Amino acid sequence: MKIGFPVDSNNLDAQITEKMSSATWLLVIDTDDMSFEAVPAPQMSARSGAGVQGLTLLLEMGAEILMIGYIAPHIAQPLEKSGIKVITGVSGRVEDRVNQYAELNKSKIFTPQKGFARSAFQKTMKQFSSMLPVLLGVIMIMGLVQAFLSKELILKIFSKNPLMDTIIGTFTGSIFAGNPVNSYVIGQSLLKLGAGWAGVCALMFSWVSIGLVQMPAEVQAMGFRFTMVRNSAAFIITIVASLLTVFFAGVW
Amino acid sequence: MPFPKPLQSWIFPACAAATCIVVWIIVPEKINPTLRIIKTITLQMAIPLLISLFMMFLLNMYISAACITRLMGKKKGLSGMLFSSIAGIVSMGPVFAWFPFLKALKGKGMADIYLANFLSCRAVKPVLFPVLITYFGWRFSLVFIIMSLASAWGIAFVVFLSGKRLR
Repeated sequence: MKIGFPVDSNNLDAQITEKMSSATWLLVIDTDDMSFEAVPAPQMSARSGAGVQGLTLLLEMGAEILMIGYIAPHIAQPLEKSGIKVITGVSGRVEDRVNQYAELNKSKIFTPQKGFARSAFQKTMKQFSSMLPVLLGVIMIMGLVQAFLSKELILKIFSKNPLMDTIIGTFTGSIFAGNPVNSYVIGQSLLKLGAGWAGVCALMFSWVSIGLVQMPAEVQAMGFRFTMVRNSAAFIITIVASLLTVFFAGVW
Repeated sequence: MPFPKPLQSWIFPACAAATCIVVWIIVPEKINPTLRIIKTITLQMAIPLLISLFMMFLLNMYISAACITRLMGKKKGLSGMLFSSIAGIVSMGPVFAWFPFLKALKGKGMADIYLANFLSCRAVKPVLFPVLITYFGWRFSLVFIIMSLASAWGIAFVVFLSGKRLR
């Protein structure tokens, strides 16, 4: 959480100023690790509206909460509407106010207010129902794919070349999902049918770590960029890890 | 004409259902195994999904965004990796049963590196070690487990680096 302050110097001992326009510095503190960023505040003499300029600067620095002595209600209202929490009547040392805020938040963790359970339940159901349609779709597609992919078919596509088999195994495993024990059972029966260790190992690795069919659900939950980066990285790392595993396990 | 927003999320499952119907018409002998697998997957994910739902409720009830960022926010380093690794290892069932819970965690400020680590660490399942050892022997199982954990951390690190480069 980032908290923004109009202050009189560029360190954590700085005093919070009464108004935005009387600040010489603007400070944004990350409450995660108490790291902070300080920039000189716009000067009053430069042009009128230094307060608004200062506010804009704090928001650009990522402040999610604004702590200040006083702010005009007509400026505070639009900020609150756009999700910025404005706390007025604040004065004193910046570090003290941040610690005070963190303590207050900590106590909130253990003392949910009356009626909170109902709203938490409603929020949970809303979050869950937003994911439900995609989950249903993924289950249907997985059912279809797995019905068409038999052990015999997987065995047919293995080539006996360790590198090629690793790529094929990684791809095949990424289509399946579910309990990893299923991948062990399929892996062992593939070995018995004559498949190479590298391909089987890749299939077992990718079974859990890569999700080609469940990608729509992952995109919905985690975002497109995250899903693409994670699955691409997992694809390459699985190939390398499989080759290293069969090498170090002495089953090359 | 644009699709009404509440119905947009149903386009994907509707297409999946349509594909099942097409398969039923073209390859009727495959529809029974398909339905059987769908049933198995649904049963497999029922308990993890209920656990995930319950955890989401607890998360919304007791845990603030500040608490999540304190435990698994950006720059939490090794402790964040440890937390997310343990959470991934003990989580059970298909991965997609956990997506709603992870989405809620992300919304509360959990960093991408730990989300990726959670997802990848699911490959390590201590309760399945006896099965793994019985099927593939001690040496292979040990290397496989170590490599699974190393790969998970590697994937998480790539996700972390990609986030930094794009920022």
